[in-house]
Amino acid sequence: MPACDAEGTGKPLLRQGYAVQGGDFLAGGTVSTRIKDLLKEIGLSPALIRRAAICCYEAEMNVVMYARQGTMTVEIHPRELVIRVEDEGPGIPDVELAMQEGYSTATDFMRSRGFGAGMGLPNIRRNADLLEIESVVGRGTSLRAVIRLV
Amino acid sequence: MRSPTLRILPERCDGKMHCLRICPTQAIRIRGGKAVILEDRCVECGRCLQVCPHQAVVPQTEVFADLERLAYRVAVPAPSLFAQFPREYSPEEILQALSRIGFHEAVDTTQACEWVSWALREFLREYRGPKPLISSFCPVVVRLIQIRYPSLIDQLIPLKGPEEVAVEALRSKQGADSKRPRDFSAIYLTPCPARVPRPDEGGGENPVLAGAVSIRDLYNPLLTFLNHQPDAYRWPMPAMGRGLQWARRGGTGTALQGELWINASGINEVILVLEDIESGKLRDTDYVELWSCRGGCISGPLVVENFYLAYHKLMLLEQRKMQAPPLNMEQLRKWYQQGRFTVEHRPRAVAPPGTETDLAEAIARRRAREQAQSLFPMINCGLCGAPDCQTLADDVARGQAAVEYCVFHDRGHLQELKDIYRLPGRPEER
Ligand SMILES: Nc1ncnc2c1ncn2[C@@H]1O[C@H](COP(=O)(O)OP(=O)(O)O)[C@@H](O)[C@H]1O
Ligand code: SF4
Ligand code: SF4
Ligand SMILES: [Mg+2]
Repeated sequence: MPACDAEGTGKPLLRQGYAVQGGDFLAGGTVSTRIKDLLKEIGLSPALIRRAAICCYEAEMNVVMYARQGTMTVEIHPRELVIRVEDEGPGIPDVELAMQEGYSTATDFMRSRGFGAGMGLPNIRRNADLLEIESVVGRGTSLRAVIRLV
Repeated sequence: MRSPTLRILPERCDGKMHCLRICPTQAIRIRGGKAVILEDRCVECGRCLQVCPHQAVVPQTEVFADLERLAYRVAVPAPSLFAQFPREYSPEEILQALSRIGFHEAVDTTQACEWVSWALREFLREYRGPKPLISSFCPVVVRLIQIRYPSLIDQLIPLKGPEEVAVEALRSKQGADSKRPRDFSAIYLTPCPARVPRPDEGGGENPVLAGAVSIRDLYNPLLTFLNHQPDAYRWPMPAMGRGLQWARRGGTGTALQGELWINASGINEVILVLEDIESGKLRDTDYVELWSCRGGCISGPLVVENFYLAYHKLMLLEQRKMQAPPLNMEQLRKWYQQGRFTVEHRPRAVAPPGTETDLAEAIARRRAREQAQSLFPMINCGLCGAPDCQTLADDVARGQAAVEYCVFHDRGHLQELKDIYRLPGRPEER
C-alpha cells in the first residue's frame, strides 16, 4: 500500500472528537453521520466523502459491536484526512485474520440486524489510502485510516 | 441559472411565516416582511405552496385557456389524475373526456408506466455498481440529491419517466396517414410543480413536453364535462393497465421479482432514507423508490381530491379486472437495447453559492458559522427572517446575513419589524 507523504502527523486544520458507546445499536452510526455532515459542510468532494463515510461507519460499528466504549477522531490536514478510532474492549487476537473478507465473530443477534458479513475491515482497507490497526488482547484496539485529499 | 418553478407573489404574501419552517431545505427567508425563496436551495417540493393560506406561492404551470395558441394539443395525463374524480367515472372516460375539453388527443400514460417498470427490472438485473439504486422519477428527489447528497448521484437510475417515454413512443409511431401533425404539442397534466418543462433544461427547440397544466386547473372543466355528458363515450374504450399504480408510492416496482426493494414517501422521510444510504446502511437493498409527497404523486401539491379518498379510489381502480393488452415483450426489448428508456444526461452535483473550493477557507467558514451560532439564543424565533438560529449563523458565515438580523443583537431591527407588521404598541408607548 502506498504511504502518504505527510501521513497527517502535523497540526491539523481541524480536529473533532466523538465518543462511541459499545453495545448501543440504537445510537450506532450517529457519529459517522455527524462526521459525514462535517465533511459535507467543508465541501470535500462527493467521492472522498463517500469513502470517508464508509470507513467511519464500519469502524464505528465495530466499536458498537465488539468493544465497551471508544472514541472516534477526525482530523483534516491540508493534504489528507485522518480517522482514528480507539476503543477499550477485547482486542483482536489475529489482525491478519480479521482483515480477511468474510471473517467474522458476529453473534446471531448482530447478524439478524444486518451486520457481521465480515466485510467491515476489508471495506475500510479498500476505501482508505492507508490503514493501520494495533490491538492488545484484553485491552483494546486502535485503528488509523488515512485518506488522501489531493 | 435555471428558471424557478415556484414564485412567491409579494402582493399576496403576509410575511407571517406559514412557510418559513416547513421548508425541508431551509430555502425560505423573510425579508422586509415578505417571504422569498432562495432558488439555489429550493428543491421544488411544493410544501410552501401547500401551506400558504393566501395562494401566494404560484407554480409555473400554464393557464389552461392559454393552450389555445398551440395548434395540435396532446394531453399527457399523470396517472394521479384518474383518482381525482367521483368513483363512477372510469379512467377510460376521463381519458376520453380530455379529448373533448380542448385536447385533440390524449395518450395513455399508464401503459408507458408499465414499460418503464419493465425497463427498471432489466436495469436492476444488469446493474453491478454500488447499491442501492435510487429512483429518479420524482424530480424533487433528484434535485435534493444534486444539492445535498451529491455522493449518491451515480446511484440514481438513469431511466426516463413514463411521460417522456409515452410522448416519444407516440412520435415514433407517427404514420404518414395520421391526422396528427409531426410537430404536435404534448401537454403534461401535472400534480407536481417540479415536473414542469423548462425552456432552459435541455430539449432545445423540440422539447418532449411543450408545457404543463396543473390538475387543479383542469378539474372543473373536466368535471363539468363528465357530469353533463355521461353518455358521450360509446367508442371502444382503451382499457388501462397496471401502470396506474405509478400514482402512488410502491407503484414503480411492480414488475420486480425477488429483488430487495423499499419505498419511502414524504420529503422528510426521503431525507432520512438518503442519510441512511449515504452512511452506507442500506447497501444490501437493491432498489429504493422515493417520492417527495407523502403518498406519492397522488398527494402532489397540485391535485384536488383528499389524499385518503384518492388513495382509496386508486386501490379500487387497481382491483378492476385488468384488460389492458399484454406487454409486447419483443418490442420492449428492442427499445431497451436501442437505449430509448435511458436518459441522455445524468444529473450533476449543484453546490450552493458561497461554498469554497479551498479547504482552509471552507474550514474558516465553518468556524465563522460556529462562532456566529454561539451568539444566538437557539430558540429559533424566526424574527431574523431565517427559519432557525443555525441557518442564520450559516447565512452570516456565507456573507448573506449579519449578526444584527437577530433581534437579540439589534433593537433597531425589532422596531423595524413593529413597523412592518404594524404593531400599535402599548398605550403608554403611544
Ligand atoms: N474494535 C474491535 N474490537 C474487537 N474485535 C474487532 C473489532 N473490530 C473488528 N473486530 C473483529 O474482527 C472481525 C472482522 O471485523 P469486520 O471486518 O468489521 O467484520 P464484521 O464486523 O462483519 O464481523 C470481527 O468479527 C471481530 O471479531
Ligand atoms: S418548494 Fe419546498 S424546498 Fe422550495 S421553498 Fe418551498 S418548501 Fe422550500
Ligand atoms: S411525489 Fe410526485 S407530485 Fe410529489 S414532488 Fe415527487 S413527482 Fe412531484
Ligand atoms: Mg464490522
